[in-house]
Amino acid sequence: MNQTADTLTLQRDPFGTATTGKLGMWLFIIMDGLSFGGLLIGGAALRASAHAWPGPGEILNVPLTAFNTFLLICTSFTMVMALNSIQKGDQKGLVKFLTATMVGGLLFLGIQVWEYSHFITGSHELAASLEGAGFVGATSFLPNTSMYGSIFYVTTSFHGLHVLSGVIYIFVILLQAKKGAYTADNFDRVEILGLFWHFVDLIWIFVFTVIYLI
Amino acid sequence: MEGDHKKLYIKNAVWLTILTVAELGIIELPIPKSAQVVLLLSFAVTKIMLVALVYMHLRYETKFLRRLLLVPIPLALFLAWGVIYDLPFSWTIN
Repeated sequence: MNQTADTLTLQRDPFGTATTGKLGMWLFIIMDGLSFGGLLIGGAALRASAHAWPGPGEILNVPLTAFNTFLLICTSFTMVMALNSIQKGDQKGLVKFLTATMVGGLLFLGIQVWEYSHFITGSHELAASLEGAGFVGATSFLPNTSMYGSIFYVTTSFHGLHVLSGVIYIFVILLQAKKGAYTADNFDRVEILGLFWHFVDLIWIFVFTVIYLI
Repeated sequence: MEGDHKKLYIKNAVWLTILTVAELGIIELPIPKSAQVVLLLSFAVTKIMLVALVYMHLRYETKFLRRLLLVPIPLALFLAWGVIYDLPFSWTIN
């Protein structure tokens, strides 16, 4: 028995005190990061082959998306505060900060949906912007408007799906937290949820830079 | 990593916001596009490091795990090399 315990300790040592669940989430993050890496690198290669490529803010709403980025940074803060609260045994704090994170995530999605609807329905202003960017005759900005449109929609909607998954994930943990499932000695699932949510924020930082600013 | 780190977390959020605002300033700067790209990517990497090290508590993990997380970088560079190598042979698209 002791030998088994020693072998287990030796095997786990490279990962310190990280639990199996946490290691699983890190592994998922590595793989998901590669998916985003593929999308962004593929997008950059297609951009290099494209005739017309709009500059920052020519079509996309940079100030609005910068606000969305700020919103996601705030939710990262509230998420880490949720973990900080439960580590001190503060269950009310956990519920409060998880709720704030979920509301922030929903607001982020709401703004993204509004941005999409604005592009899909089109307007005279948008048509003028599209013409200025080299897409003559386009009245709305759709995935088939250009390669730029395809890359924009694929990358941002793939990220949006992650935010939606994160919001559902938070909701499930929130329901458990309300029932008092987490304590100062039992917060592993909250920490794993935090890793996922911060990863969603981390990826957005890159998406915002590559798609909106460069 | 347990304990109250509220001040550190607030400071980190403030720095992330400052860097985001600075990025908005960079795209207005009258400098060559290549310099803008380098600056923007540097700022993005800095922000990513701040999120990973402080909010994801990566600085409290073991060296082994931290190094393991660097594995995707050479894979991504290999993919980038592959598509760059292919560019001269690709067609032009709209």
